Amino acid sequence: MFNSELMKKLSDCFGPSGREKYIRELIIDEIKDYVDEISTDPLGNLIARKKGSGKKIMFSAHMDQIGLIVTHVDEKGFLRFTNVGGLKAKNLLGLHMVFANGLEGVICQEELKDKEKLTMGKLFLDVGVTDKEFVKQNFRVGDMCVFKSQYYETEDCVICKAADDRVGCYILIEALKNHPNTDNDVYYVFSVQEEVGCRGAKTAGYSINPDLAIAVDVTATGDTPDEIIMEVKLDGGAAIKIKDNSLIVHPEVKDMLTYLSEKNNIKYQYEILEFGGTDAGPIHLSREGVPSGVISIPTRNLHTSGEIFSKKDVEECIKLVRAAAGH
Amino acid sequence: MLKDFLFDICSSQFVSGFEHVNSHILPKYFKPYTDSFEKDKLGSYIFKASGTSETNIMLAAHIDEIGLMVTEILEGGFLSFTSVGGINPASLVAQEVTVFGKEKIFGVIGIKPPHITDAEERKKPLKLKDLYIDTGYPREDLVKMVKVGDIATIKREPLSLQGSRISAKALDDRAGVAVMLETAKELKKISHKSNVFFTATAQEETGTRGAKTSSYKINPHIGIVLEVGFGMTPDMTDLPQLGKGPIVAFGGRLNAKLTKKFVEVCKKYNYPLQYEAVPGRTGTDAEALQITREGIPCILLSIPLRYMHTSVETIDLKDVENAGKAIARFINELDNSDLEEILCF
Repeated sequence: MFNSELMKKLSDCFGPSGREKYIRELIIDEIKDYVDEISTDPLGNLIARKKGSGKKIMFSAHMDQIGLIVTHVDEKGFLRFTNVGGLKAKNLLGLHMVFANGLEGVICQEELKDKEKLTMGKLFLDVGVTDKEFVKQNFRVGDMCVFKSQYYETEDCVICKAADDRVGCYILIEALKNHPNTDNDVYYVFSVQEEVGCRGAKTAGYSINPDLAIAVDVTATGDTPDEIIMEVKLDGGAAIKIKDNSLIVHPEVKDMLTYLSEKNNIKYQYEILEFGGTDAGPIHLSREGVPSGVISIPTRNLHTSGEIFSKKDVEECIKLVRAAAGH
Repeated sequence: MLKDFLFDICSSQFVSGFEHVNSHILPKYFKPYTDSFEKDKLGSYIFKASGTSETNIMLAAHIDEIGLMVTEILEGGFLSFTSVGGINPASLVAQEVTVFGKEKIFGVIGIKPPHITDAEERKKPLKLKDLYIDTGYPREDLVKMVKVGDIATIKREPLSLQGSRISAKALDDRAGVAVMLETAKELKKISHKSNVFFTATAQEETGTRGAKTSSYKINPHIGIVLEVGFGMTPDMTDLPQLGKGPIVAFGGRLNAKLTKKFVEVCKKYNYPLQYEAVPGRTGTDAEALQITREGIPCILLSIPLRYMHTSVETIDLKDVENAGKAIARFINELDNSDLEEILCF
């Protein structure tokens, strides 16, 4: 049964990279009654543990989202900004943004002859306030904002912002609530700053020093009217990663996830992503190396205010995380 | 012997991330000259020649090679693929390939006939997604043998050219691995004090990954990184020449005093040497070693090589022999020097 209420809360919570306070508090509230230990590391990663005496397994889903950061508040009361994470100027025009304090703005552009030459520097935020003093008081350099968009759900899919990677957080939370009966020492990590270079996972991987690591994150699909050649599709099941730019999945981990899927009747598909990376990138290079893999959620329209994923795929991912935690 | 070793490892596949597949080959050659063998968790091979002192010296050359990976199984027996490591798509045209599926499958990569390629198309650079492996099997048979994520390499047997020149795929960086074997042989003849770790690193081509984890594990005092460098061809005349010795690199990522010491040793014992300046990134395992743990002082030595990242990479065996001997001599000299003084800034 899909927990729409939880997914909506996770998607709507403010938490761009480096500003994960609210989303961390939300997740702590959600899981604190189910874990043996819970802690926040110096970078802000939330590390929840289900103790055991066996193999040390680390799961990681990042709780930060992409956003914008204010670089300048001008005399007229407009805000200039740059991106936090992978956002391009041409995809931002007209979007509605919201700040941590609840104030909002819309992205406008300077008059341009050649629309192709649009850069971040030609865009500004109009916060809809004519009182310049109010703008000065309420917006400062370094303030961050994120997409504002309405959560929407159909019978099959969810359309929402920050599915990357709040749907991964959702999967870990649901798996954690139904943690399998096992000797394994399992760490559920909700990492920070993935969108700016998987920074949280780097330090969490070092401190936990696991025997096996599995990131849970979204991936692109090849089922839309465009040119990406990819076998991954919505409703194709949990995607077991084989390779992306940050990682070649350890063959034994790939085989293990495949075996677990087949044994437990979990629908799965193989994924090769020809760009991007996940938390498993830095984790697998931590210390002497960590055999690592990724369970991916096929997601369309990535890094936009309306990311789309299938509720059935999410269920399959939860099953696979639970199977891996107990294996 | 050196040539046999190179021919053997160049005709076996060690694609990045799949270095474990032919894991019997390297131990066979290194074990006679070393005392223990282990692997790091990414699949790097570490052979240790024990000494009598506390000093640990790490030699690193990557065993992995660039390759292809199946992304889609298409109607008519075609396979779409991506690259593992950097490949110029033009170098794949009209090649035979081996796909490592459930069993070995042979295929070819073709291209549109020139007759029907219009002027506009000719100007465009080829992209990987324009190319396919043609296996000849019907799709229903092919899906039983090949899965998404299986790897493929160009099928190319090593070739002896005139004199001491050879041509093969994956001499980047099997030439470096061969240097390590030459050094191991030389060191076996003398009683060295340092512990020497011959490390055939994994996944260099995808971001010097094996060097990161293996150097963390070994935690050496110094690193000697063996690579291949661009060799002179008629269209690039100002580059180091084949057969005139290995290339020692100077640059910010490398330890200046250690490099100077190496050059002095080569001069003293008349080992031929060529030079290159690499002010910034070297794009080699030295990059990873330099910032492992508290930092590892490194030197970088490259074998001149033509046609890098194609299936006809060409080197001169003399350069490999000379590099191997020079490094053994260098280790011997370091054993008899005050390493702390050399490494002190």
